[in-house]
Amino acid sequence: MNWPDAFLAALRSLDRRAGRAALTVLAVALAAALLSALLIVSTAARTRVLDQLAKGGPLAGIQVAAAAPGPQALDADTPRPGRPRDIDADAVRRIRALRSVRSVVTLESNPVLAVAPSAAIQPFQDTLAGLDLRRVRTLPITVIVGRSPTPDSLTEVAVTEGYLRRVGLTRATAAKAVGTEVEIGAPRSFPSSRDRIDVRGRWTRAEIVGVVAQQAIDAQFLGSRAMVRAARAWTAQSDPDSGFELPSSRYAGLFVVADGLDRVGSARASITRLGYSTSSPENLIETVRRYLRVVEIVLAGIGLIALAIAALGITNALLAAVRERRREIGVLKAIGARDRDVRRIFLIEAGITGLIGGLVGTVAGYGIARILGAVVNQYLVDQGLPGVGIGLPALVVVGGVLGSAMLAVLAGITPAQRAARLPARQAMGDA
Amino acid sequence: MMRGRAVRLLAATLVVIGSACSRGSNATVPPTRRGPNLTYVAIGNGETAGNSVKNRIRSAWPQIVYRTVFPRSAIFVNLGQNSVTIDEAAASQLPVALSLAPDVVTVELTDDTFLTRDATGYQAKLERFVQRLQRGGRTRVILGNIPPGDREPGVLACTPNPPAGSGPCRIGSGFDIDASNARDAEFNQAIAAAAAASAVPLVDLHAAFLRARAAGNEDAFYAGNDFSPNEAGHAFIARQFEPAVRAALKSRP
Repeated sequence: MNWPDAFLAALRSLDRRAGRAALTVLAVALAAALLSALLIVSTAARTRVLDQLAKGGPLAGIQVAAAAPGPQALDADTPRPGRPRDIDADAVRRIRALRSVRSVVTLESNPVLAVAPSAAIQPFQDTLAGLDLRRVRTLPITVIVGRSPTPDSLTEVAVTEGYLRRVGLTRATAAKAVGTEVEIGAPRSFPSSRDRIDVRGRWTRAEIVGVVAQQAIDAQFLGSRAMVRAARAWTAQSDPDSGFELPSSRYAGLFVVADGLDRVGSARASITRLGYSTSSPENLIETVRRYLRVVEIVLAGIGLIALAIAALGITNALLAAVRERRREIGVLKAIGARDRDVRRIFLIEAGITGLIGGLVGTVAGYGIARILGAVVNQYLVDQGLPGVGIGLPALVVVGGVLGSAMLAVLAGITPAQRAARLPARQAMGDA
Repeated sequence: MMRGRAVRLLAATLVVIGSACSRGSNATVPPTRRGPNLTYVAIGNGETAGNSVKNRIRSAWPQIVYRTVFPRSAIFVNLGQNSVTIDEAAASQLPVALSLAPDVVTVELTDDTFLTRDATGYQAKLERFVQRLQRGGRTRVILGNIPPGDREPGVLACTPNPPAGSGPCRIGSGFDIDASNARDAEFNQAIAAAAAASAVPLVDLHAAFLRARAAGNEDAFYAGNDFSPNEAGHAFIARQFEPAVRAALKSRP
């Protein structure tokens, strides 16, 4: 009996016992669904947290202030900075050249006057911060609602919770701020004949496209670098004799990503030696890593239990099939089928069961993961945190389907062996 | 038959899974419409700066014009100064305005009526001022003239029979309203002549305030013991400028 004939015989057998086959497929599907759902969820968690930690994301970054190191520069995660010290292009170049540094994001800022839409809110002074918004994901900036401004936009800003408080909103109602317009004025002092600083604003209007939680820089408005540079260019022309305090440092701060989590400490030390105050959440990173490892172990344990249950289910179903089909096995052997032909039919049957169960289970697992993701996202949004994107990694699809088929074949080995070794006469006689 | 059914089932399942493969998605806010890059500069006196309103940034008439007429992408700088002559403005405001290469400039320089009182010289200076601002036609300039001053509370307080509730007279009890009106008229003629000579639109605030007076609305544009319009007055002035600014935006090169 060749392989195609064995395949067709297995399919006919499944078709004849459709009910039992469906139950076996369901058992495999349930296990595959549980496993794939766990894998999808844990992949999302890993992408969100673990990868950021291990590969140097926002949590693993180092904030560099435009200040000299304080006395306890490296003794704490967030030490008190020393006296102001400008960060210029040369300083950025030197920090970039450090061996333990993977990348450096420059942060620029300018003081601004802001006018919120509501007439009840007085115009207020704050800071407009600008950065390369293409790299916003590498910074400790989390979008609570909406999105971050587009990288070169001169008419979009994101605001922080400080702005929400000013306009009487909370995290829960942050969405109300999105889509509103804020007027932003960069100040410039002019010579005045009277005894006061004569300040005029360069006004622009921007749509608030997102609300963010951020620890990158002390500012209520985040915009593109182009937006901040235009504001700085205006402010920088202020009358030097007016007494108006100008930001002297070209960069308000830097965000440095170390070349691996284990190199954060050495990168910090190197930057401190260059004369700048640094901070990074090293303690937090270690704590999060420990907790996530525990979660991973638990998820893996649940997955293994699911696999074992599925294997037992398939073995049980196939053993029952052997008992039910002794006569059929006897007939096959009587007409010349060899032991290996019988074994092949049973193994193919197990493989088909596992393949279909794996396919159905993987799709179901994805659905379960999406539902779980929706529940988790609802919680995260309620907490003012960004949601988790639930995707279906190709590896999970391949692993879920092929893994289930392989598992089924492995589980079918014993029943197939038992069927193959059944003597024809005994099989016919028992029947 | 059996093989065909199995193949179809397999294909359908693969299509479902393939279409489900994704990276997940985040909520999106559509990109903002930028509109053209425009620069609007307001040159002028204390009214332009926002005198007499509680919140200059929100309520000064040029800020209202900027907010209501210009697209979001526009830049706005208000260079208005208190008690500024045209000579002083030429030294302090004009260079800044030119450095901004503006698309639209409103000019409301009227303090020479009480600071220099030289209407003839003022006209010539205003023409030169406007000509420089125009930058060979690249900037649209809009002139405003002097609203009637005889209903300003600060002026009425200095009349022989001030209205009830008027504050103290701060410009001398000998203030001659008729002479002041005559000077305003003389300067308004100079502004109109300068506008005509430079081929720039003139926003006739004087006529608009007189129309408001005829309708019984003018007194609502002033408050307290002041010489400048209140929030309602600034909004009224902004409404007078808006059609001219819109027309200037349409006609810009």
